Amino acid sequence: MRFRKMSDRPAVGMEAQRGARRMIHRTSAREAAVLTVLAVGVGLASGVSAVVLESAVHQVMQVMVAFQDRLWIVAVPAAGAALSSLFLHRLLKDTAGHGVPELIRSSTFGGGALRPDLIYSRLLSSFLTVGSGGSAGLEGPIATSGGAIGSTIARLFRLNERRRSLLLGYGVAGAVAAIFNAPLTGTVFALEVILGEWSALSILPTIIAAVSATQFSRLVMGNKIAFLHHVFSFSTLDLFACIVLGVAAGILSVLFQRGLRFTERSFATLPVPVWLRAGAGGLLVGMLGFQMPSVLHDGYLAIQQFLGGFSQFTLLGVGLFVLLKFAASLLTLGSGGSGGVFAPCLVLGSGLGYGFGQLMRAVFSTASLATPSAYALVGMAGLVAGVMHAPLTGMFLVLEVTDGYDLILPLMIVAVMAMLTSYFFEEGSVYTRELIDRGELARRGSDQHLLQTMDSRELVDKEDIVLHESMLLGEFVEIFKKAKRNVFPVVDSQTRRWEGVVYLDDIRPYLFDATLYSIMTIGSVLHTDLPTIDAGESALSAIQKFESSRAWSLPVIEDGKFLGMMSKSTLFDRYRRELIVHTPE
Amino acid sequence: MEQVSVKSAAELLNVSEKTIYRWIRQGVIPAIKLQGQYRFDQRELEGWARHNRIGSPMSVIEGQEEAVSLYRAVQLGGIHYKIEGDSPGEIFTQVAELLPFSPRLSPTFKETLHTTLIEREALVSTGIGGGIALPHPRHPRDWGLGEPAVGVFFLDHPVDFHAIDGEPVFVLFVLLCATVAGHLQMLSRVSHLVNSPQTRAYLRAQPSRTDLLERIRHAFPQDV
Repeated sequence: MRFRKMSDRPAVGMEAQRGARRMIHRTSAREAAVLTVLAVGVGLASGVSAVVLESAVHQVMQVMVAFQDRLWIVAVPAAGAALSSLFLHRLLKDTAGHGVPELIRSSTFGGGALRPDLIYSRLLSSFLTVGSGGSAGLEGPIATSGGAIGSTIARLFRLNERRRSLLLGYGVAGAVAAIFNAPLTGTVFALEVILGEWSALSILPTIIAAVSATQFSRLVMGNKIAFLHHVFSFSTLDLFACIVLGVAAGILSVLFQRGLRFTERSFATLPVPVWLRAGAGGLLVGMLGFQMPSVLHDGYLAIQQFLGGFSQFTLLGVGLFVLLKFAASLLTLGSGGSGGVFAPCLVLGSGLGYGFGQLMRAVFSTASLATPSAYALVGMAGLVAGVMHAPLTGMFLVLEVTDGYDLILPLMIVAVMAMLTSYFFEEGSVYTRELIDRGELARRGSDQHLLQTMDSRELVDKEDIVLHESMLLGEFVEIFKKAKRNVFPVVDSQTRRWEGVVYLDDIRPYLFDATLYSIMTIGSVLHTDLPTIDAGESALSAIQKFESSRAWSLPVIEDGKFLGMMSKSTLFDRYRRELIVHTPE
Repeated sequence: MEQVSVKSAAELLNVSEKTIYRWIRQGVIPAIKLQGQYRFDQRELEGWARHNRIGSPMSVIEGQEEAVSLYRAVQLGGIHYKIEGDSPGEIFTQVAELLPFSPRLSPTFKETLHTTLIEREALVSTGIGGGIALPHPRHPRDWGLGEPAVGVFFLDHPVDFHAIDGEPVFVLFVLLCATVAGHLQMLSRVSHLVNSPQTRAYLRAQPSRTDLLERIRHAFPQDV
């Protein structure tokens, strides 16, 4: 009644509406403020983990470099990868697979929940893999650790799933920002790759987390620019050349993704324990490394050589390097070694760019072109954009790690062309591909995400009328007088076990046929071929059952017992409401 | 390339043409403009529909009227005399033996039928009074007979079926139908047939096969 009154006097109604909107706005502004404060802590914590891993691996690398001409060094990556795999699979029984896809899945589907041991497990395993010479990066594991730190802090504060997912993202931002000394990259990576959401609640605290993590790492490690370079200038001809480089980077990205899947599948069929597979991969990597030591580890030394212009490589040499690095990375990651794809992307991208630059020089020998080193830089952005489907991350990363804003135009071109090319062949990125295959990628607010998060129990129409098999038509007619529906559930009278449905349409012609009242049982008009919805099923799979059965209402069953009917109209009504709640104004 | 018009696309996707035009305007559906008219590539459209889980039209369990005929059903089920037995269970054993068998019936047909008839009897008696019972399986099921069958069984001596009026049963009409709709139509026909006191008296006299079939034919002239 009050509602009616409000609409009678529109002025008052509008006033109330405006008041409500102000109130909600203030609540969400307050939430943004609280989350931003929390993000400082999350950023600092993930910064610590980044700094620790980074320094540990570099200590080990110093030692290994001294022995790189001994034959036994071949076995070291094998031992490292095997140990890393034993640690993850035997000791921790970790099934989270690659770290970053798990972060993405958790932040959208899993309500931001992550195993707390991910805080250190990937750090240790990637330390073993990469430290011993495996060709992979530390950034993915560090991002995983940062995400787990955010998720765990959220759990400590008993935050809800939504906020836990956000804190996971802040943690990733902090970790990536700290390891690259690149706050913008951390921010953009978390938003573009992990959270996939651009709103006040995601952007503001993510920035702050990146700021605090970066500042912490600068205090400890110093404000180092990873790859110093000379000032480059790109002519118009260079920019056109960048289109070609972008396409080439895209193609290499597709090869990398497909090669990785192929290697993973091939190793998965080996009839040996998981840790032996990783060991076998490590051994092959060790042999490659014996031929060309620069393909081992994260490969940042090679990048420095390309960028500094003191690389000894001829065009052929660069080609060979890219090929071997490509193989070493696939073997390391595909065999079950632990590590990320960030570093291999940067190395391959810089190699590709450097080679491309040399080629350009050879072809257009008279024109004034950017140096091969300059092309090496923008090539890195291309591979990141192509492999991770993250053009913004690629651009900002190169901008920040080289401290070179003069590169922005070629970076933009290469990143866009690489992503465009790669997107042409691959629906998902190296991170999202397996999630897409499993149907586990749904960005917040998307149709699939909403449906997936709604539980069948929420959608049950509480059922007061149930029939039993032994009921006679005469009894049914009495019940029918009070009923509003056309489909009647039939359950066992004692156990409430589900038996089937009776359609009013079947019986309607006989409702007034008194000769059948005492002979026709409900059991004899039972339809049992209807699919049932399990109480734990999501609304998404319920919809699929409605679609395939063409039914208007389906029974929901819990442990064999009938819970109630779910009708299409209830489902869509709730879905509509859910859309309104979840869609920002 | 098979091309489809807006009209047939609307039919294919089971939405109105207005919806198709709105989708084109919003750019969500893959359409091509040919000489001012929108066209769809059939395969692309089908793929799009599958991807977006947009269904093709299919009627919602439309109760399609099956043309049933009690006359044909009784021809198929047969008319049997002098069925021996002192309980419904014993009689159902005979019934299962005597019903028509096509090679398509499952080998366990007899046991299954016997069990389900007894189960149904246990729920509520199928004795409708006046010495007549209409046994049928507990749930409708496809017996593989192709059409509904009704077997008529005259008992050697009346047997107690716990009928509503307590009167012992002397004749059974056993109904075997594959579908709910068929069962209901057949049940309705049989109960109307035996509802009148005249028919009951006529049945008590154990009419001959041809005579009974004739009477059924006259009772339902619209059945073929």
